[in-house]
Amino acid sequence: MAVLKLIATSVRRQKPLYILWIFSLAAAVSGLLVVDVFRHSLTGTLTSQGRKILTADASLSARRMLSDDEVDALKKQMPGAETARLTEMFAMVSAQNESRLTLMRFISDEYPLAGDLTLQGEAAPVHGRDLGEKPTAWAAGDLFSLLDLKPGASVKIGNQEFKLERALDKDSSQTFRMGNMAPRIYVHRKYMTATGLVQYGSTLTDNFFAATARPPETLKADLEKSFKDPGLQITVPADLEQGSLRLLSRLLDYLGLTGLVTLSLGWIGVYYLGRRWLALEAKSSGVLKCLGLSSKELQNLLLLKLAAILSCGVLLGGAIAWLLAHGLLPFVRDSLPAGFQLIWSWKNTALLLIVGPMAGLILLRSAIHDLAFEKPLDLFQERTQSAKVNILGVAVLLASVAALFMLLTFMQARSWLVTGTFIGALSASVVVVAAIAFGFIRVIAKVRRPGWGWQAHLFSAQWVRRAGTSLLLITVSALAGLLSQLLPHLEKTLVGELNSPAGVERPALFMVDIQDEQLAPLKDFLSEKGLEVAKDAPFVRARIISVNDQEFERGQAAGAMSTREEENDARFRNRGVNLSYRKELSDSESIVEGKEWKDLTVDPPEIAVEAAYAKRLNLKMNDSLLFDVQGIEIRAKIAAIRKINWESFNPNFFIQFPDGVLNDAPKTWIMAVKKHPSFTPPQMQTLITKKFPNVTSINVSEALDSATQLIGQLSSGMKMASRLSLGLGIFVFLMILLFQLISARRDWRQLLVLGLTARQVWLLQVLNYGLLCLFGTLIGAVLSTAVAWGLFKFAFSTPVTFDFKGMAQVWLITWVAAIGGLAWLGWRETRSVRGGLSSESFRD
Amino acid sequence: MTLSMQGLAKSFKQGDTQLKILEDLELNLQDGEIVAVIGESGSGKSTLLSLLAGFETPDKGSMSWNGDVTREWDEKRWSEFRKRSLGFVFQNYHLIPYLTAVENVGLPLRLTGVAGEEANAAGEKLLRQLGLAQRADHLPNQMSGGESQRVAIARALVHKPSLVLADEPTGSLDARTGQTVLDLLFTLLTELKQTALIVTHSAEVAARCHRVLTLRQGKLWPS
Ligand SMILES: Nc1ncnc2c1ncn2[C@@H]1O[C@H](COP(=O)(O)OP(=O)(O)OP(=O)(O)O)[C@@H](O)[C@H]1O
Ligand SMILES: [Mg+2]
Repeated sequence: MAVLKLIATSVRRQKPLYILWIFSLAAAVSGLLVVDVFRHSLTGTLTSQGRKILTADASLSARRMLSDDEVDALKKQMPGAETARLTEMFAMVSAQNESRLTLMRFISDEYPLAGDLTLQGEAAPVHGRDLGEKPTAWAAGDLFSLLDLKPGASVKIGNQEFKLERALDKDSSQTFRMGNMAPRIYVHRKYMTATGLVQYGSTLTDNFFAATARPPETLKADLEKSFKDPGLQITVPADLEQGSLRLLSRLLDYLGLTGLVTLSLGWIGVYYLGRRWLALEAKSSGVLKCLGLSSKELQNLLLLKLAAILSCGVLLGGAIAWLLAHGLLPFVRDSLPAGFQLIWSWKNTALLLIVGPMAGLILLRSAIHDLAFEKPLDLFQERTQSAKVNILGVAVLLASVAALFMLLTFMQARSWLVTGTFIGALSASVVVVAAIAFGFIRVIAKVRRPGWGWQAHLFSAQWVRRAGTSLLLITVSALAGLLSQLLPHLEKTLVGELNSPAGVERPALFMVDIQDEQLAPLKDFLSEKGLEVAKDAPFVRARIISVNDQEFERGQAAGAMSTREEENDARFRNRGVNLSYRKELSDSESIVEGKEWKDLTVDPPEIAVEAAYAKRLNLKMNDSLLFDVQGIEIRAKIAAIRKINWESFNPNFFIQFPDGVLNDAPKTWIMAVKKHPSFTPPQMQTLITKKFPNVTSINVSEALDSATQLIGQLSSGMKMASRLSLGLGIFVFLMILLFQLISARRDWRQLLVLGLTARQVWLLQVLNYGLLCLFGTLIGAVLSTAVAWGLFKFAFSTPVTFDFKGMAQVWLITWVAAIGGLAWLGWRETRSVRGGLSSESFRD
Repeated sequence: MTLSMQGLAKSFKQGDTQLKILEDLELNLQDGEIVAVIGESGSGKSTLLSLLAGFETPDKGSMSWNGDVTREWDEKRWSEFRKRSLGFVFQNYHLIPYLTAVENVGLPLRLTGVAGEEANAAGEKLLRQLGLAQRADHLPNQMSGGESQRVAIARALVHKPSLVLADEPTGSLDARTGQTVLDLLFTLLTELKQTALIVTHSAEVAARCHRVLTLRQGKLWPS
């Protein structure tokens, strides 16, 4: 009881210190917590909604039509289960004079087995059977406005006329409101043949759905055992999380890292304020020891007090996170999946709430120990931060903080690569900064001369003789600078990766599903209209049977603890592969390893594989691959590795055969059409669709624009997170400066007594700390560039896009804010020191 | 140098009540005299020094310095006054912790524009006189209380101020050390013909001054 009273009293005495202390921890924790809550909620929402999104309990799907055998096998696996079928493809829909790209969905009577599909003005859900006997279609409301149609109008899809009966209202299988470039249109599958859209090699997805009461955990494993073909995908509701989160997961990665940056800044603040607290605690500790408290008891008392304060901080952080999450929700709802709900993961929350104070305890433990075991009389001495450094102690301290941080990073990024690189880069930076700062101080000590003006004399004395403080200040500002200046690089690279680059000439249209026999007539037709083909390429569907005679197994995701790298690999492996062949290298590709293109032999075929694809599937030079090309086995050897410039918008493939091997295989063609001054892309689409109804053409700029819109929203989320983090960085920075000013109050007061004016003292303060911070942030700027480079090279394996302008802006903002804040704090501080001159100079 | 205070009054607000500390106080200092001020604790001795140094402004009355009325001084003038004309010795030494002994002593000279080497030379000379030659390059936290106070004395005298203000200069030292420090202080003051105002509780200190004033009921009484 007495102890609590003691704590309460001291807290009341030093209110600002404790408030700031609690607040910086709270800010640090809440940032990470908010990101975590959003991540968890997204996953949770999608899983809980998974059944509605999937419209069933399981689906078997392929990028080709499923065979009857496969469908029968699935039915046999689940006797008595309800089933439905959906074939989905992009296709053109034309009304009187216009055509539009749509997502065609050919559904069976029973579709959907789960979830809601409703029409406007009607609450009751509809199913495939409600489409009726005549050729009718339901379409998303967008399509009506795009084609300027009213319900009841007739449209042509492929070769078949449909009556566009009603507009769709709710469609729970559609996850994201934004970013769908093609409106959906539902027709009954019995008209699929009549449309003529499904031809050999058409790009489509065929799904077979089942509703069953079997437990979902074992369902997928069971099904995967019976369906070995890697081209078949088995999906259960829980899988949908990963797939639909792919875009968002990039954002969450970024937010996670930003959260970590915020947390580290917060920790720096906590540590710094903690040191200040201990300095204040010294005197009362001396009294307590004289009153008979043992060193051990004193240490426990201090630890208890620290724990109490830190707990307040994290609890407040939790509360702030809760408010922030709920407050942010209305603003970000549009970029989130429909039906998104905030779900609190108590496990993660608890973990963060424990880890938050733990770092503080670890960081301050040794300082507390030193204080508690010091001789009581020394405690009454003016405490100046000692410059002696216990190397082992510091190493242990850094290691424990690094371990803690590692755990958190992994929680955020779920990837050891990202985690390792991030931590490694940060630790290396700390060492580099400390070394540079140490060198700087040594140099100042060496070159210091009595002949310097009194200002320089005072600065240099302070920097050299209070080496510990200077070291800490430089390191902290460098770290804060590093972390905040890292953000623009991260942002630009990630946004750039999502965005398409400017300056590349985009084609007007991209066409797929061109039948072999349509190629020549289509080319003639285009040149007759004055349209120019940018590129075309054959497209052969196949799957890999074996690599070096080892069966190419369906990669299995290893359960809950799988990292994202593993998940990506598994997803990749499960797909079939598209092959192409050409006589010469296109101008957007280059050989990085192996033979030149023109030397590739045809028998046995030597192939060139794209570099990143090869890395992912672990394919190497001279590997022998066995392909199944529509039932015919073809063996080929990897003779070259290629790099592709995907931004060129040329048709490109992961695996290229030389001319002459696949030429007779069943194939379709893809083609890019150049822009033309007298036709808009929709006009071109209409022209082509009239003559070649089965050919799907994508309006490239429209598709990119709708993607850009989503990306714009995501990147504004990123920006907001960066701003918050930056704000905290500046706040921590100022806290450190404020406490630096307060700690040195007596020294500044002496200068006033010795006859300096308040303005002179103030200028001295600003210059003294400002110069150290300037030095620190400059090191930070250089390091942030290095860390950004390393992070992307080693963790994300994408080249970094530096944002030096953004970095300079951040630096300037930090710098102006820091100097402005310092000037303001310094002014207040000198005023108050000035005011207290009489009472304190002559009386303490 | 002449300093005079006439009808000086100073009070502090303590909650609702007005605490009258100094009232209608008179003080005249002649060049070269060493004056002791004694008085009970809380009688306002330190407050008097604060008024003299311009840290506080009087409620009433006037103070003049060489015929100059200080009421008209702005902050800059006051700081100039403190820099060139005053030297301070405090009870708790108050040295700048990151400057060595010699740098601390040289600081007042540097602040008035004397070159660093010259200031250090003057500081070293003074420290040698005070028996601290070996301590010149030590930092305050490496020195004992007596040594620190001697450094502080050197710092108060190095720029030959017109007036030295001392507030219980031996208050924090044990008797013997206090004695040594005091001897040094008086030797130096006499040698340099310094004018000084020393606040003290010690009868011994008072006895060594040319004149002793007692602060009682807000006024200075000769004794
Ligand atoms: N800034 C202030 N605000 C309020 N009261 C003050 C202030 N400064 C001094 N006092 C009061 O004025 C009175 C005189 O204080 P002062 O420090 O001058 O006494 P003193 O004679 O120096 O005492 P001591 O011998 O104990 O040092 C005290 O009662 C003190 O509480
Ligand atoms: Mg006093």
